[in-house]
Amino acid sequence: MSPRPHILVVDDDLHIRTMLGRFLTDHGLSVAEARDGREMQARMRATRPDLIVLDVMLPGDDGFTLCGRLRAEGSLPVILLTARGGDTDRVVGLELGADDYVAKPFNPRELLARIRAVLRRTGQQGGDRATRSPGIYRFAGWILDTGRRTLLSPEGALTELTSGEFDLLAALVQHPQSVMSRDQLLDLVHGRTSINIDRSIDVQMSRLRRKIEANPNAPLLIKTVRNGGYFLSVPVTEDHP
Amino acid sequence: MKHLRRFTRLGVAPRVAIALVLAILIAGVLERGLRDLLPPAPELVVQRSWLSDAIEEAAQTVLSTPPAERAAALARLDSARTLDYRILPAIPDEAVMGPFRYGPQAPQVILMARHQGDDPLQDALSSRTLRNLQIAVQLDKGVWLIVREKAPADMFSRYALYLSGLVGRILLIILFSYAMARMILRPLSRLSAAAEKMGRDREPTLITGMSAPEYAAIADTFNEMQMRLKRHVDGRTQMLAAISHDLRTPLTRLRLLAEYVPEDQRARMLADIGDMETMLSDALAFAGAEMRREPEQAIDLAALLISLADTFSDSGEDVLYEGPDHLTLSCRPVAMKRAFANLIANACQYGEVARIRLSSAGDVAVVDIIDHGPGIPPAEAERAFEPFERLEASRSRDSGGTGLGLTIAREAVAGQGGEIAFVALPEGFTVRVTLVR
Repeated sequence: MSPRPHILVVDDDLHIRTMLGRFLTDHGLSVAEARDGREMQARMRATRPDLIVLDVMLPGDDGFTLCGRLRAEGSLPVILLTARGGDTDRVVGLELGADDYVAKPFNPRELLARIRAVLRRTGQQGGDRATRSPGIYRFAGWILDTGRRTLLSPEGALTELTSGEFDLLAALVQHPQSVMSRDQLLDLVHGRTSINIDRSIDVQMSRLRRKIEANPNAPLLIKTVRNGGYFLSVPVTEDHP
Repeated sequence: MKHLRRFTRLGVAPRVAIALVLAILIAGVLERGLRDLLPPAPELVVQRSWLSDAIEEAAQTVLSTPPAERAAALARLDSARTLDYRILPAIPDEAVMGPFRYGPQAPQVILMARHQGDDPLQDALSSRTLRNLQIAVQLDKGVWLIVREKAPADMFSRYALYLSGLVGRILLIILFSYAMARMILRPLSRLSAAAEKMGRDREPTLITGMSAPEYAAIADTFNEMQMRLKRHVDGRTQMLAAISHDLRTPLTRLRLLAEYVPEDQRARMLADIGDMETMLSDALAFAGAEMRREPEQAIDLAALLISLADTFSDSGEDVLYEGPDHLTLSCRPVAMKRAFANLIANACQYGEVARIRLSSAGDVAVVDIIDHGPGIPPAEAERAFEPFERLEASRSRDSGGTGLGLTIAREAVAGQGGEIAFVALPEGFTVRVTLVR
């Protein structure tokens, strides 16, 4: 990977495109811009981007179509931008293989953090896409849906998690029965979490245990390894829709 | 079949008329049909023709039966149920008030008053009952038929039987009339149920199959009104969605621009952008675009409140949760989350802190959100729930917001069949949300 990751920004609004380009350039990325799907293809032939920031609402082929086509062609990371904040868009986007999803109006710093997180993930573990695509994970009666970002209890009750707690649980569930160090967890969780939340992993963990453990003081699902980290002690079955 | 259908298309007025006529007819039929079953009135009201027929029948019976069997034959007569027949050789030794000839060829008939008085016979004759009168008919030499009202042996039970018969008949008629009235008015309750549902869910319930033309006309008008209302609400929702959609692009530009303004101005600019985003999502929630389409689902209310408390305290607010770790409840999850987020944000904004307390008793869950602010005076409580209303007198003016927070919260809670109220607890001003599980 080049020292300056190359990002292609595809958005039909000139101001957003140029300002986002300038912002990302100022934060150490190299940026190319495209107005629509056709320009995107032309830019991709000219330069080889490391990641595409793709607006959903585009003239001609929309972002979902383009994302699906990109995914069919290869494994180039994609972050979708959309004006809609609905749940459906996120699920559709993630099912089409987008690596992340940011709703407009977005906080530029959050987008930057997510771009970095996606680059880090794809840089470290090139072939590990399956763990990032949305899936339904079942463990000890609980059902975690990473596409809809929901958790159902064994009794079928929707259990609200903060986004930090969700990412923490998702990281553990996607690596079942292997010990995750605090640093590893922090890395996996930080990509999505809103940047002003910087609670330590231990605090998040105790909150998470309060919600999913029958007795948070004697946890059965998520075990602590002294000086090591945490691991999920129950088997996980996994469905990919 | 065709006739039946024509009947079902009858208007309300003819239906009422038919019901009345039927009720009267049934009353009459009952009266007639039940006459034999019901005991006679304790006071015999005498019709002259009936009385003369009865006496004539009795006289014929006496004349056509041998003397030894006369008493038994008389007792078998229908009229013997109410009249007391005796055969005596002479007029009893009572005051004979005067002879009364009944028809030219008839045997001698003597009317006697049974009681003394100023003018006893006149009294007895002017009364429509037989109580004070005795009739003596000479059938033969030394054969007098004496007729008087049968002395009722058990007056009380006769009264009771008579009264219960009367009450029974009235009850039957009341029941019948009620059933008819219900049949006529039942369509109206469907109408009111539909209106109620429209008010609560904003979803039209079309009313069909009204047979009476008046009701069909009302139903048509009502259906049309519902559809107009729905079009109106949908139009408003779409407009709000379109506006908010269009506003997100300029807001995104502003957010990007904010990265390049001097540090001291950036914070204010970001706060303004944040306010605008909040207003947009408030307006959208108020239009109800997302809220009403959301299906109900069981949620862990405790986990929801804990998550909200943690999220608020992570962003620097003083928010604490107190209560069980789990409490399952069926509701619309996003609407409920928005409602509590609004209430907690209000508490933080106007009351500095928020203490969330969850408790449950039976199938009722109560969430108290307590703050340390001045609260809302009871007189202004109702106004506080009005859309776009902000009680500036008691609350800070430059607080931002749209004045939709409480309205949205109440809509969400009421949509769940719950209640939201202000309570003054010793700990501080409290917003109490009561939900049914």
